[in-house]
Amino acid sequence: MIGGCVVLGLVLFGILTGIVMFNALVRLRSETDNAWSQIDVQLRRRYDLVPNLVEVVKGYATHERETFDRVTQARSAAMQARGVRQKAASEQAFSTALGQLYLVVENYPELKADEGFSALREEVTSTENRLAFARQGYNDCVLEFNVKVQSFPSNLIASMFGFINRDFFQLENEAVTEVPRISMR
Amino acid sequence: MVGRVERGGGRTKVRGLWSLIRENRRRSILLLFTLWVGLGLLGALTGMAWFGRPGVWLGAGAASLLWLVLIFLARRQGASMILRMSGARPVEAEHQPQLLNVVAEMALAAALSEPPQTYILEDDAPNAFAIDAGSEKTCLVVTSGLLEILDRDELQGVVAHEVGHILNDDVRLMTLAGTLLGGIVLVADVFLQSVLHGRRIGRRISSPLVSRGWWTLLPVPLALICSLLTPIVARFIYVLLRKEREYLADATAVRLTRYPAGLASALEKIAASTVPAVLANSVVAPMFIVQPVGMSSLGNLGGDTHPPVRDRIVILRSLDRSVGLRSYRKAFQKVVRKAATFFAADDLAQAEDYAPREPSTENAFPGYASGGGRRGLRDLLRAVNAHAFLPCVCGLTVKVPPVARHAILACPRCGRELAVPQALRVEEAETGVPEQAAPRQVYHRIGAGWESVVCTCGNLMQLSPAFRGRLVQCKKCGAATSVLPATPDPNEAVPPERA
Repeated sequence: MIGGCVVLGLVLFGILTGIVMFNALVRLRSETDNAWSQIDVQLRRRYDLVPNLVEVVKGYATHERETFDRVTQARSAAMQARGVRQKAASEQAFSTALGQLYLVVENYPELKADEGFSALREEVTSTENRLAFARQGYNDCVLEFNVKVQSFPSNLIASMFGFINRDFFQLENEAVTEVPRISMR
Repeated sequence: MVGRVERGGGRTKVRGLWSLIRENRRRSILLLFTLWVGLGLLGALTGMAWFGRPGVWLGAGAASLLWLVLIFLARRQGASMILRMSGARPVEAEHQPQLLNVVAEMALAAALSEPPQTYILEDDAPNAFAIDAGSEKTCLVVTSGLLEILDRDELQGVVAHEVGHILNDDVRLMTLAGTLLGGIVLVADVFLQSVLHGRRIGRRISSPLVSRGWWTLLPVPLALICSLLTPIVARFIYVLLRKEREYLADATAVRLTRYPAGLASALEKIAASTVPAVLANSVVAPMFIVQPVGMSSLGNLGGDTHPPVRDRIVILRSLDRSVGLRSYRKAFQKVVRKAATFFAADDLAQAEDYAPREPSTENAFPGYASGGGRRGLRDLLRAVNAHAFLPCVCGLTVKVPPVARHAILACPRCGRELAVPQALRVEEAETGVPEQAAPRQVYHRIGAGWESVVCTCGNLMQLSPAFRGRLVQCKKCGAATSVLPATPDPNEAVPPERA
C-alpha cells in the first residue's frame, strides 16, 4: 500500500517535471523563432532603405553606376535566400555591396550636406545597428535553447518531442561584413 | 518579457540574470508581507482608538482589505500613476527618431517581445528610469536634459541599463514598491488625521468603549508614532532594494551593447550635472539610473538608493578586452574590494565573454565634440593653443601639448600606450631632430565638418570637426598624411585627393 503510494507519487512527480521542462522548451523555441523573425524584419527594413539611399546618392554620384547595380543585385539575391545558412551567406554579399555604397557616400561631402540625406543618416545607422543587435539577440536565444536541448534531464524531453538544436546566425568572416563605420555627417 | 519569464517557469540564464530575478521575486513577497503587517497593526490601533477593543479586529480587517486594494491598484494603475505624477509624455517618432531607434535596438538585443513605450520628462536634470506597466509591458522614461547632453553611444548605454533592469525583473519590484509606498504614505496620513479627530468624535458621541480603561489612552501616542514611522519604515524597505541591482544592470547593459565606454561616459556626464531634479520625490528616486541630485537628504531616512557612481564608472572603464559577465565580476571585485557574491554561480557558468565593439565614428572625440560646460571650454582653449586630442580606447581624451617629446604616451587612466601623432613630433623635426623622409600625402580640409581621408594604403580615416592636428597617422600602415586647414574661400579649395 505504502509502496504503491510512493511509486504513484514518483510517477506523478516525474510527469509534472516533464511538463514543466516541456513548457520551458516550448517557450524557448518560440522566443528563438520570434528573434529569428526579428532578424527578418530588420533585413526587410534594410532592403527598403536601399532604394531610397541609392536614389539620394545617385543625384550626386552619377558615375558610380557599377556600385548601384551591385547593391541592387545583391539586394534581390539576399531577398530570395531561405534558411539560416543561405541567408547568412547572401546577406554577407549584400553587406559588402552596401559597404561599398557607404564608401561612395563618404567620397561626396556635398552629399553628406544634403537635406534629404541627413534624414537618412540616422536611419542607416540605426538599421545597421538593429540588424547587428537582432542577430546578437537571436544568437543569445539559440544559445539558451541549445543548452536546454542538450543538457540533462531536459534533453530526454527534447529528444522525445523532437526539439532539435538551432543554427547560430554566423557570418563567415566578420571583417568582410563589418560595414565601414562612416560618420555620415 | 518579464511576464514570460515568470509564466514559463524556465530559467532565462543567458539574457536575464536568473539569480537576480529569483531574488527580486522573494523581495517582492517580503515587501508585500511587511506592508500587510504594518498596515494591519496601524489599522488595529486606529480601530482601537475609535471603537475600543472590538475595533482592533475591525481595523485590522479594514487594513487588510485596504492592502488588497492597494496591491490591485499598484498592479493595474501603478505605471500610469507614476507617469501621470511625473508628467512624462510619450515620445513622437518625428521628434525623437534617434531615441526611439536606440530603444528599438536595445529591445532587439535583449530579444524583448516588444520595445518599451518611451516617454520624455521635461526636466533639465539628466536621468532615466523604467517602470513596469503590467502584462509584459514596460515604460522607459528619459528626461529632456539627458537627451541634450548625451550622444548616440551614451544614450544607447543608458537605455541598455534600463533594459537590463527590465530583463533582470527589477522594474516589477521597483514599481510595486513605489506605488505601494505612495499609497501607504497617503493612508498613514489619513490614519493620523483619524486619531487626531477621532477621539474628539468619540467623546462627543460618548461611547462607553472609548472612555473606559487606561489602554484607551495608549493608541494615541502609538498611532502617532506608527503614522510617523510608517513612511520611514516603508521607505527603508524600499531602499533595501539591493544596490547591487545597479551593478547587475550595468553588467547586463554592457553585454547588450558590447560597449562599456558608452555607459561609462554617460554616467560621467550625468554625475557631473549639478542640475537638481524637479521630480525629486522618494517614490521614483530608486528607479533612476543615478540618484537624483537633491535626493541625498533621503540618506537621513534610509541611506542612499544607489551605489557610488564613481565605482560604477571605474568598473566600466576597466572593461576593455572583454565585456562578459565574468569580466565584469572580476572588475567589480578589484574596484569595490568586496566579494561579488551577488553574481550567482549558475549565471556565471553560462556567461560568455565577448569582445567590445569599436566606438561609433560619431564619437571619435568623446567628451569633446558634444561635451559642453567647463571641460568643453578648457578643451577649446587647448585647441586654440594647438594641443592635440588623442582619444584613448578607454574613453579618455588625452590632451597633448604642442611639442611632444615621446612617440608613445601612456594613457593616464588605463595606462594603454598611445601613439602620438607625428604632427606633434614634426615640430621637433623642424627644429633639428631628424625625421624619416617619406613623401607625404597632402589633404586639404574642405570645411569645418566631418571629413574623410583615404590613406595611400587605401585605409579610410575620419577627420572630426575637432581635429586640429596637422598630420593624421594611418592606423594600418602608419603612413602620415598632412592635413592643411581649410582656405577661407571654399571655392578655391584644392579638391581632396582620392584613392
